[in-house]
Amino acid sequence: MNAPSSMTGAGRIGKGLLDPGKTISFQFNGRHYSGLQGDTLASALLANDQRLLGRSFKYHRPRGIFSAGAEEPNALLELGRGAYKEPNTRATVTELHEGLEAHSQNHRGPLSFDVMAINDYLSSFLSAGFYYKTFMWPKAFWEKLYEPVIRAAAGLGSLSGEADPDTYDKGFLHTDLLIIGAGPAGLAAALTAGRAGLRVILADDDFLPGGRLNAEQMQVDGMPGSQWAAASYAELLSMPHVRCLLRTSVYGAFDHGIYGALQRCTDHLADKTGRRPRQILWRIYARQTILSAGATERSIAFGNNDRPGIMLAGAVRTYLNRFGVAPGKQVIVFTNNDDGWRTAADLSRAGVAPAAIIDTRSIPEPMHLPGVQVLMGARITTTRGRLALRSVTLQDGQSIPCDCLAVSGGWSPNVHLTCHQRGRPVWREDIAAFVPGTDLPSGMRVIGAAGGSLGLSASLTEGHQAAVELIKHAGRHQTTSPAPVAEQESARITAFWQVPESRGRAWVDLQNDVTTKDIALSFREGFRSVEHLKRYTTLGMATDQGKTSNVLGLAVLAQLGGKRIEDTGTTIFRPPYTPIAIGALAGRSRGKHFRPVRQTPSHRWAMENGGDMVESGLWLRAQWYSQAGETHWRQSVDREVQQTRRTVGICDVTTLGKIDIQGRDAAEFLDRVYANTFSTLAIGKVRYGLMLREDGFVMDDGTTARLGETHFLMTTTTANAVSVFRHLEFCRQCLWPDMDVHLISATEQWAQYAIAGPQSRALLEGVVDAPFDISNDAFPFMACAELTVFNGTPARLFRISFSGEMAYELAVPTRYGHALMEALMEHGKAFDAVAYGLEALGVMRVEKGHAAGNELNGQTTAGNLGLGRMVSTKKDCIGAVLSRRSAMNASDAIQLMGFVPEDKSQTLRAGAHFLLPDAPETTESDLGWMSSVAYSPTLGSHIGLGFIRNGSNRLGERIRAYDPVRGGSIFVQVVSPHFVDPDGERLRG
Amino acid sequence: MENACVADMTLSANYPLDGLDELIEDTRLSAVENLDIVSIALPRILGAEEARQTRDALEDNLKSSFGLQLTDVGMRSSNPDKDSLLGLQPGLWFLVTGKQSSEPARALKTVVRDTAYVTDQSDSWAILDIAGPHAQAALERICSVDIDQSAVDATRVVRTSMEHLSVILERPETERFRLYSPVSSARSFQHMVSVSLQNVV
Repeated sequence: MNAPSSMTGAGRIGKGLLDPGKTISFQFNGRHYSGLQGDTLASALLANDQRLLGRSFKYHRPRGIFSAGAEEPNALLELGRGAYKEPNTRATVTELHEGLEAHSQNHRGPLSFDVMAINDYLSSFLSAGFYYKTFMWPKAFWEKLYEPVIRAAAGLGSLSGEADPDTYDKGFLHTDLLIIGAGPAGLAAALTAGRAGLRVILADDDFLPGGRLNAEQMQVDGMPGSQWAAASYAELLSMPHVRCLLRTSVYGAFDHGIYGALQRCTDHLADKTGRRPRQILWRIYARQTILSAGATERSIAFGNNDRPGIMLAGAVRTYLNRFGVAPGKQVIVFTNNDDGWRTAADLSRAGVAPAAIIDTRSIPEPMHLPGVQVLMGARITTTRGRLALRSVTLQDGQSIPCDCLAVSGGWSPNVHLTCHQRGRPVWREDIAAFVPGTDLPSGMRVIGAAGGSLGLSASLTEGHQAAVELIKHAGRHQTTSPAPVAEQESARITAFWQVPESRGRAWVDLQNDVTTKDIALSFREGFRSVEHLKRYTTLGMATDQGKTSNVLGLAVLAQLGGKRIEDTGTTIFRPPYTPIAIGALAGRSRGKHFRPVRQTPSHRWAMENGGDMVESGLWLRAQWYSQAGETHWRQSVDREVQQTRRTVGICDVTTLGKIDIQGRDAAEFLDRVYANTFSTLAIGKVRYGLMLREDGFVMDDGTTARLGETHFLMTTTTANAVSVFRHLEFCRQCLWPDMDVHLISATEQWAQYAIAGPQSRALLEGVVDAPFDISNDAFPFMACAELTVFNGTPARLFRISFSGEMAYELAVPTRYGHALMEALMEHGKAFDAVAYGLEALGVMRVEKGHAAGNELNGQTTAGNLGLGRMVSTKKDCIGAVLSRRSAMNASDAIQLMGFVPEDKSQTLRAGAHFLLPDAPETTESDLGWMSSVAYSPTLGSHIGLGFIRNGSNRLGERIRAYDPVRGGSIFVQVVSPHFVDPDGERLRG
Repeated sequence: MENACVADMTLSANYPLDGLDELIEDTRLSAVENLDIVSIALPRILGAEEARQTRDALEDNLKSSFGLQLTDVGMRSSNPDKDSLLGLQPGLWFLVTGKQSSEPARALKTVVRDTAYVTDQSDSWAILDIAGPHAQAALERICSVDIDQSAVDATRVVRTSMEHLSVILERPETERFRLYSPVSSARSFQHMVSVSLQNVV
């Protein structure tokens, strides 16, 4: 290896795959350090001899770096500061960048002297599930003392408490082949598939493609593995149909070949203030998937196996070969397999002579390592060193000084994504590991170490072969290039899970501080299923999801129960494979962009004229239009109502649903979907329609105009525009597919305005183009016509009224909506016209006694609404049969009635329930409820609509409106629901 | 004027995207205005032979007037005048042409006569063109449908939803997409496409 860069720490003994000329400054706990471009935070800290990085979850034990990848359970740090602070970040996958700030977490006081470390001395009282057994008394202490203390002590890192300043995005990708993992198997597959022209997505969590090739010394096709990986990747980048996604974690496998992936775009950049999103959450639709996610090394349980300096043997090789960092000067290897020996060999090759290699197996030495003490059939029983490892002790009492212990308990294939759809892995004794079962997600195949082929040669061959098969499957031309060639290293293993002679606690799950004793306790207390074990001990939870501990934990459990591991089983792996920030899940759907906003064409006019906007579903509508001097919304609304009833008011009703219905059977279709008859409606006329659900309850109401023999235009309520259209499509397509009926939404096509009030006709007479006649005789109540207005603009005019006044609704193509509103108001000045909003609309409809959303709540019948006679008995329609059920037509059924307060100064409240004056306030006494209320400026008091039992026989009756939620109970009188113009003289005038 | 109204006013058109024309790096986002869009629905006729005859008659009418042939669902036909016919659902197409009439449905009815039902949709849609090398990448952020050139070319039309909005997508040129979305949510529509483009350049 080349000479180390003294600038980047004493631990740097070579350059690995990094460029020694590109140094990076960063901070850890306020101290300044240097690393190299291409370092992870973990490798840079190791290079700077920083072994102690944090404190453990429960016992606050000193902890260092344990792995070199996403499986890291120990080295969890807080990155950034202020609103950018992110806790529980794994140093092993954090790409070093200029200015990076990191802090250790979960300690009180300095990292080296954490006062909470007293928990370690109290460990006897803090065993697994201790919180289930203690804090039971005194009972009152739980909320006030125990829980707050536990909550304060629990957790690892801390949040900033500020809003996340980063932006996130999401996206959708489609591919013939998704390859998860750009290690040797994944690269081999991608090359073969890419050369054949398949659309390929290659995703890898790392920022350097190659996987273990970058951590090993092995050759591929006669060149160093890392070089082969770089060359292969460069070739893939040159292929336009291949998309390479580094820094991308495929975190979940979902139905139908859909995968979730998180791409980290700016986390590695010094300047994060650009406009690019920090992360992108991809949804990938893949016809075929190759899982080449590799394998994760696991530990062995022995006494005090958690000290800083104890790490996985494969991680030691990674730091050595990829980053040029020696994790220690006196390294001991403790292994139960041949792979551990390769760590010793690489150390020797790098000039870091291993202090010893301790193999639990009593077999001949797998390889000859000159000058290295070899102990076959030996075991480590405990270790020493408070803040860093100082020595290990063997079963025979021999103590060997060291500052790094490389442990290999074997490799566990990363089967997680194969299990996201309830797939069960199967046990393979020859590699002492679970491998994917046969019930894989649709279209997935698993290759390389992820599938249990732990040798390099096998991985390359499998990658190539899998791609060849997929190419054939896709009917593409097959490549003639051969599979890459490499040596097949030995992966012999003899399972060895825990050292029976261990002295001190032996850790299984480092992140959750779960020891073999905890598992034994769980077993003793009857929690013997792996799922129970997990929940009782927290084994396998949190950020690492037990990647290094699950198999070890269940092996210990199996030994306790005298079972085989395959009979003990595993827990269910669920997405996400690695932690995902909530911000990434939300993406860009934040704040006002959470959902779309709909605006009417005269939205701008409303904003410029005092419109106070309110969300009505997705729509923004003007509630009222404030004028100078008005300090309360009621002033605006009262003015709008009074002026409309006195002269003329103009209201934007564009939001009403509009459905264009055409076809030879359109009239018959309407007869079937409406309770009343439409086939008799004359061309040029409008009729009010009531629509029932199949169960006989009212679904919606509105008007439908007949524009031609085979052409109708239906309006729906704003709220039900979509659901009614959907309902009609269901009827058309599924119930009566033989009918010639065509539907298309015209809601967006037309801007529509109500012009209501005694002067409405006079105003419109100056608007509609000659020679169209809108006199009462020529254009009476419920007439409609297609015409032109304002000198040539096409329009539709309907003489219908929601306010109870003589009224029209005028529709023009949407592009003219803004201009029409302006023109109507300008032209209306001569008639003292006023714009009115949603509130005034509501007041006037209550005054008139029209039902609206509060009354059409899905639980009321035509009879309840006083519209029972509209349900025609001369024809069939949806809901007709069930609307005749006796219970829905009971003599004491609720009926829509009007209500006025006995004391006119009192306010009515919607939601109040009706009781007889002396009746108890019980459900049995409930007579109904107030559905809508308003202050009527016309009548000078509050008025209400509501449903009350046997309502028509209660006219004039005094009853109580009981409102326990908001307090209060007032007396009201039952009156007709038609407060204004009950005979309809105004609207027909 | 013989057919004039009393008020001496005319109405001028306002378009929801207000003439948007934005160049973000090398990719342009521009509003498309003043198109005629008319839905054409084929009458539902039970007899196979009669149904085929009606369809053929409609196709003859469209061919003779616009040089366009009826397409299957998801397919698009176009002519040198850049008129296009979009197959959106069984028996339903959108005819998209340059502005020809103040009442395009009425005008088209004279062409198709009884072979189809027509409805004006010209004002229902806000239309955006996104053109340039980053167009596809931008749309990948919001469109769940495969819009790769191999899946969507000039002969295709796609109905989908983006950010909860209904969208019709076509790709008249390799690096130009045209998106139609309901006019009432035009501002949200513009925002979503604009943000997507900004996020990828």
